[in-house]
Amino acid sequence: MEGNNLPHNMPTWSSRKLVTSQSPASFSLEPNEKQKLKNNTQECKSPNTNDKAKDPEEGHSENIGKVDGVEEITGRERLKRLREEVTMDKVNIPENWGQEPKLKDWMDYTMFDAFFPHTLIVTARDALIANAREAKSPRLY
Amino acid sequence: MSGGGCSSIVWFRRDLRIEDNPALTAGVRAGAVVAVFIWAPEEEGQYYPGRVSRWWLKNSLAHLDSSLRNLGTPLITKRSTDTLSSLFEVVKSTGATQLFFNHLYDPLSLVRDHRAKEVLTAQGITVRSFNADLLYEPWDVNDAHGRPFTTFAAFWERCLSMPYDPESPLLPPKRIIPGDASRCPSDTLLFEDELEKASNALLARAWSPGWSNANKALTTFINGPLIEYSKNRRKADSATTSLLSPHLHFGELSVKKVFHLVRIKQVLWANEGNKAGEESVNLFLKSIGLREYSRYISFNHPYSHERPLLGHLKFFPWVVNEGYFKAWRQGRTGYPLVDAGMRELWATGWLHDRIRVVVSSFFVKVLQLPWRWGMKYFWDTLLDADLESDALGWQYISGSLPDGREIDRIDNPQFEGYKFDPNGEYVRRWLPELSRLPTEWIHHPWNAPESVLQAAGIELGSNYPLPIVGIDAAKNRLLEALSKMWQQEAASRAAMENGTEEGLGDSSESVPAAFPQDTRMEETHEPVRNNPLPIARRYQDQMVPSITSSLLRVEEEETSSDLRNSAEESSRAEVPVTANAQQNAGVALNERMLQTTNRNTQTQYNTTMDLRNVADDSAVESSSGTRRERDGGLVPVWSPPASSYSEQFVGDENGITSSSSYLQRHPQSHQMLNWKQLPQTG
Repeated sequence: MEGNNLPHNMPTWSSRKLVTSQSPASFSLEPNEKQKLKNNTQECKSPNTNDKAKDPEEGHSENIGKVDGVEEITGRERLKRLREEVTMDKVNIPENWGQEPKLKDWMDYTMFDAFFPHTLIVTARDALIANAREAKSPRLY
Repeated sequence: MSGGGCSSIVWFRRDLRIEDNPALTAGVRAGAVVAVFIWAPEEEGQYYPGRVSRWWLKNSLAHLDSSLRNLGTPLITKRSTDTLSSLFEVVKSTGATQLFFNHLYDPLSLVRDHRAKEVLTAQGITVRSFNADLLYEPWDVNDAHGRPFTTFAAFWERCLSMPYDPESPLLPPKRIIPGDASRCPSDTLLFEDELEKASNALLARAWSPGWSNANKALTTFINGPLIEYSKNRRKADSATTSLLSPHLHFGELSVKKVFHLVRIKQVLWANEGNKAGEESVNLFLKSIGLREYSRYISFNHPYSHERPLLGHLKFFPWVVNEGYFKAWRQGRTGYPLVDAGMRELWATGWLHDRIRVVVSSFFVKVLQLPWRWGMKYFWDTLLDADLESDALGWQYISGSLPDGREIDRIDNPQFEGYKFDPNGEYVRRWLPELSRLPTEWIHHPWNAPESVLQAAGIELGSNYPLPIVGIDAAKNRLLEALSKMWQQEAASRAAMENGTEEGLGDSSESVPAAFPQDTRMEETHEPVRNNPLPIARRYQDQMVPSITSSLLRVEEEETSSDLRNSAEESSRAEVPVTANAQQNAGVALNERMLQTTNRNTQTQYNTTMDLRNVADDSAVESSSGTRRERDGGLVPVWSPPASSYSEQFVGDENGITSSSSYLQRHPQSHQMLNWKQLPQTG
C-alpha cells in the first residue's frame, strides 16, 4: 500500500516545489512582508523541531515541510492577527454603503428579463452542451 | 495544425492559474500563445464586481502575469465595455487562428461565450472550450430518467457514484512560446477608487491572492485542520475552516486538484483506521459538492440569482425598509451574534459559514428584507463572492429550494450565540462595547439586570441598540406574511386562468416551456408543500437519498408519495403544469377548491408549528419523549416510519449509535449541515 501511495505523493511534491520557486517573487513584491516572514521563521522554529522528532525517516519531506511550515502558517496566522488588530478599535462601518439608490431597482424582477431574454440563455446553454458532446474526448487537445 | 506560424489566444476569466488549466494546455500544445484577460465590468450589470472582489482580482492578475512571464509570455490585459469586440481586436492584431477558454456557467457568461464562438467561428477562427471549474459537467449528472436532479442530496449521491472519477489535474506547462503581441499592448486596469483604498489596505494584511498562495492554503488545510474538520465545524473561529473559497472562486485553485489531494488523504486515513479523518473528508467534500451544485442549479435554472426557484416566493410581501437594512449592515440590530458577524464581514471580507447563516437568516426572516438586497451586500463585501454559490445560499435561507429550510422557520440568534460562541469571545471581539458583559447575558443583553448593564458600561438604546424587532413579533409577522403570500399566489393563479392578466399569463406560460426542469421542480414541491404531514416531508426529503441506492430511492419516493397524498392530491400532483392551461373549466374549479382546502390545512399546521416554536423557546433542549409524543399525536401513522428513517440516517451518515439526545436534535442538525457546507467556506 505504501508503494501505491508514493506515486500519488509525487504530484504533491512537484506542487510544493513550484510553490517554493514562486516564493522569491512574492517576497520581492512586498519588502515589509519579507521582514515579517523572517520573524515568523524565528517564532516557528520550535514547532518545526517537534516535527523533526516525529518524522525522522522522511528526510525529503522534512526539508520541504520546514519551508512549507513557515509559509503555510502565514496565511491563517495573518487572518487571526488582523482580527486581533482590527478589534483594538471599534469597527467603523460607513453611514452610507454607496449602493442605496439601487435598492429599489433590486426589487424589480423585470430588469433581468430586459437585460437578458431567456431565449438567448437557452440557446447558449444548449449550444454549449452540444459542443461538449461533440468533443467526446476532452483530453485529446 | 502547423507549428511556428500558428498562434492561439488563451482567454483567462475565472481560471487564474497555470496548473490544471485545460485551455492553457491546449494553447501550448497548439503552438504559440497569447494570454489575454479582458476587463469589462459594465457587462455584469447589477453584478458589477464588489470592492473586495476587485481587490482580489487585481492582485491575482498580477500574480498570474508574473507566473506567465516566468514561462515565456506576458498576460495581455484589455479594458473594454464590450468583451466581444476586444476579443475580436486581439485576434486580428495577433494573427491568431485559434481561441481557447474554460467554461463559466452563469447566464451572462453562457450568452457571452456563445456569441464569441458564433462570431469568431464565422471569421474562420477555431474556438474550443473546456471544463476547468467543476468535477463533472452539469449535463452529465442526471437521474435515472436523464433529467436534472432537484435536490442536493440526490445530486451529490450521483456525483459520488459516477462511473468515472473526476479527471486528474493537469501539470502546468514547462514553457510557453509567446505569440506576436507587438501590435496588442496591454491597457492599465483600475480596480479600486481612492475611497476604497483604505478599506482594501486592511485586506492585504490577512489575505494573499494568487494561484501559488492558493496552493499553500490548500496544503496548510490538508496537513492541518482537515483531519478534525468534522469535529470543529461548529466553531465560529475560522481557524478550522479551509479558507479556500476565494481561491476557488477566482479559479486560482483547481477543484479537481482539491478533490484528488483530499481523497488521497482520505485513503491514507482509512488505511490507518482513522474514522474521524475519513469522515472529515466526506464532510469537506460535501462543501465542494455544494459549490458544484450551485453551478448545476444556475445552469439548469438560469434565473436562480434573480428569481426564487419556487414560484410562490414571488408573492412574498418583503418589508422594504432601508433603515432595517442599514442597521443590519452596520451591525446595529441589538442582537449581538448578528452584529458581531456583520462587523467582521466589513472588516475582513470573511465570515464563517455558520455566521453567514445566522446573519442572512435574520435578514430574511426576522427583518423580512428582500433576499436580493442581502445577496447584493454579500456580493460587495465577501472575498469569495460568487454568483451561483451565493444565489444558492440565499435561496436556501429564503425557503426557495425544495430541499431548503422550511419557509416558516425562524432561528433565535440568542440561542445560536450560545451554540457557536458559547463563551462569548467572538461577540466580545467584534462588539467591544459589550466586552465587560458577563457570559450569562452576552447573547441577550436586553434581559440583563440594570445593575449588570451599569457595571459593564452599557446603556441599551444608547451605546448598544435595543433589539430592532422582537423575535416573537417577528414570528407573528412572518406567519402573517406567509398567509398573505398564499392568498396573492391563489389570486394570481385565478387571474391567469380567467385571462384577466395577459402579461402575467404570457410570462408564466413561457417559463415552463423554456425550463421544463423548473416546471418539474415546482410540481415536486407543490404536493409536498401542501400535504398535511410537513414533519414527514422533512424527514423524507432529508434522509431517503442518503440511505438508499438510486433505484431504491425512486421506489421509496413512490411509496412515500402514495402514503403521503390523498387520492385527490395524488391525482392533482400528477397533472403537468403545462397541461393545466388546457383543462376545462370544471377541472379548474375543482383545482381551486383543492387549493383552498390545502391552504386552510397549511394555516392550521402553521399554528401547530408556532406552538412547537414556543416550546422550543422555553426549553432549548426539549425532551425527546415530549417531541415524539407531540409528533405521534399529530401524525400517529407516521411515527414509526419517521423513527425508522431517523435511526437509519444516524447510522448511515454519522456512524453514531442512535441516542435520544441525538434523535431529538438531528432534524435541525441536518438542516444546519446542508448550509454549513456551503462552498463559501469550503
